Amino acid sequence: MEHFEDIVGKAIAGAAEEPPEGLSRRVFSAVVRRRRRAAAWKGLAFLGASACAAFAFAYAWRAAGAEFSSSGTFQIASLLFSDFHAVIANWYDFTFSVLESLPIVPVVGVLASVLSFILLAYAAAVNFTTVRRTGRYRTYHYV
Amino acid sequence: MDSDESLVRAYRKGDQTALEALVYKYTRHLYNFVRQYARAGQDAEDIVQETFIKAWKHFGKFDATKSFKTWLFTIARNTLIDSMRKRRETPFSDRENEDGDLLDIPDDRAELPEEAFAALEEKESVRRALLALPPRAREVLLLYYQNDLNFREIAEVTREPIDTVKSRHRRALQALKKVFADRAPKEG
Repeated sequence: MEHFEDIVGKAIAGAAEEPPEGLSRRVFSAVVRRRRRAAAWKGLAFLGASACAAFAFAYAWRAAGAEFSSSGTFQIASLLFSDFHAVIANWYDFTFSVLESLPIVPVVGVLASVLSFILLAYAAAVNFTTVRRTGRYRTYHYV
Repeated sequence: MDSDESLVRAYRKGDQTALEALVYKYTRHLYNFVRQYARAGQDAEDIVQETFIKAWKHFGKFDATKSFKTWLFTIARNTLIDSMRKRRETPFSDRENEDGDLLDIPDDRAELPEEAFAALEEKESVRRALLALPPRAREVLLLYYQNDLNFREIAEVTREPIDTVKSRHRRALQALKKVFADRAPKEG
């Protein structure tokens, strides 16, 4: 004779209710919509941040230009054209002189703003690509 | 159908159809589980939808060495509890103590009338009998019999010791037996 637990187990398994028609499709569409919306917001945020980075770059570039002209780096570097043999003969001292004359803070500012702009613009592009792809996305059916 | 592991791996590599496959695979299971607690079908649909949205949001946190099914049911259970709390419903009833154990334990030795066995063949009477059980007892039976989770997986979902789950399963069966015995027409 079959044990009560087995009978009840089968009865409970058999009593499972069928979900409303199209529920899986609706649920998946809701996930895609949410994903699309989140990607759109993130894309806009990254776009805004990359615009800020572009402004920061413009400012840092101008500041670096002003610093360069007063630092003497150009004058030292111009020895490369006016007295190349002397530069080669004293390349070690020449390199250090150029590095010492470099306005470090504005250079770091320019590099940091360029790097930030590239990364933020890339993140914005990735998110906008997701928005575009999910907009075109059509569901497949696994049932 | 692909295994959960391969679908999770595929989704992490950017395959969107893998996520869709997981949704199609588990919607029915989750709906059945949630439907036993939600007031209306629409509530159950919303909870299932919210479960998948949460799963998608936290996919990065999912440990691929563990069971996806268990993880998904844990999210569904938490979403369900949140929803019940919002509706000011208690996740356990006055027939359970705070640990979810049944206060009124029926006698397992009681004979089950033939009519009760007949009722077990009717889906609607089984559903009604399940609804008569306290929520936590019902939960164990639903996860075990309808959704094929083993005791260890149920223990993970409910965050309880496995022995508690086993004992609750035994008591739930006894309680269900009593529900059927009580509902069967008394022989004169």
